[in-house]
Amino acid sequence: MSAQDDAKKLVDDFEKRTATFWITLDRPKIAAGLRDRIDNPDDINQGNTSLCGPADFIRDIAEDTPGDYARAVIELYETGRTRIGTLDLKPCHDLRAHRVPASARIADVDWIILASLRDSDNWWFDYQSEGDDASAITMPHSKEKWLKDAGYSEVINDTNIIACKDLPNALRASKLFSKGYKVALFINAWMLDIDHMNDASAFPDHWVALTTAMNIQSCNVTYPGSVNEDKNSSVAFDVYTWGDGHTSVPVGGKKLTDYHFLCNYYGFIACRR
Amino acid sequence: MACLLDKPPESCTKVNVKRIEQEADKGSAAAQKRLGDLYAQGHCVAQDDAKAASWYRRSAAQGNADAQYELGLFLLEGKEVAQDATEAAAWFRRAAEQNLHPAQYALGSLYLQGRGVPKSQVEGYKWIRISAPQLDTHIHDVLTSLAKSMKQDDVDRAEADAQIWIKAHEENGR
Repeated sequence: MSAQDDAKKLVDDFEKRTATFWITLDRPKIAAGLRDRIDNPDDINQGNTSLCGPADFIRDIAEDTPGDYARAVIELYETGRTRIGTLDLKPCHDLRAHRVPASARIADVDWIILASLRDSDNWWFDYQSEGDDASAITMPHSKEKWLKDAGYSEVINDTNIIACKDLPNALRASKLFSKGYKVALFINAWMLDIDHMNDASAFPDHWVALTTAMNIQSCNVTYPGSVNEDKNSSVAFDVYTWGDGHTSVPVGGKKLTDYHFLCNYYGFIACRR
Repeated sequence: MACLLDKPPESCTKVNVKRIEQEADKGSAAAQKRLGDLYAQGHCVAQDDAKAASWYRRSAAQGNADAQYELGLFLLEGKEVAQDATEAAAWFRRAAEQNLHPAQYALGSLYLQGRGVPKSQVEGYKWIRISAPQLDTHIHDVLTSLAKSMKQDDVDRAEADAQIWIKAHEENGR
């Protein structure tokens, strides 16, 4: 039996039971969603919430250890707590009682684990609703810790939380991806917005996962620090984001120069088991 | 010693670390900041963010602007300290008032996000503008992008406030 088959067996057993700790969520929907995501981890989707950091992390878990992913969701639903490696997820009562509005566009199976993960980590003040942006931003240090606690033995965190990174950093991210690391990019979501991809942001606000190596054509690749725009340069790659593993950067078939890519790029976290 | 602390040699020896530690223990804010850097980077000592944060805090409390900025970053990220955007913003502000450009940029960024301070595009624009008196290309583009979502009156007010601040502090920017 494959790891996916083992994980689906857990879901089959889950479907037959009745115990629940999470009264606002629907068991059949959770079971169906689990089966789908065990086969297609890219379907994990934050919807309109700010849970991109957890989404990227849980996608890694679902991809590498689908049994751990299924068990975590099931235990959260039935007991209100779970553990991935040594990472404890213990969502507070307020979160468990919260009814997610349709406008959040997030599936029950994703909400239960993404919001729980964020809430467990957010010890300063609790995540109270899907619109609670300030508390939902996952900082790189937290993500690094989640990965280590979940059993990733090698975790490389090369991010900035205020200033942009340079092309050598992006090249390193791409090389690590090509070597088999899972690579999450810390960006401003303007990079994925056809109306804003040539704007310059002042802070990162989104995590995406590389799903292809980066194709970087530029004269500036060897120079750390800020670059002078090479008008003939181009940067292109695919990422997982918002439930899609094949989102192309740049979007809409446009061209993205090295400078404008860096204006919304804040580094990466790479990991492998 | 000041030179050693401000610009350490490429190959840091144990002797240098000891000297820095001695100075830090005696209360030198510059040595405390330098020791924080060594622990943060794992340079010549085992990497230890908790010790880095502790030394940055001691130095910051004495008014070292660079340490105030670094401590703000630790607090913003929750790196081995309780995550506290409000306190981070307060340290960024203290460093920004000393005309430390990265801290001014960081404070502006927090205003735009509404993290640790009330959300304000005018204040965000102002502090980011202050962070680059010569208005380099990147900052120019950040401000241009930001201005697209602001009223022209607000942009003008933020620009004017920034110019007043820059003029009043033009002697000691860094």
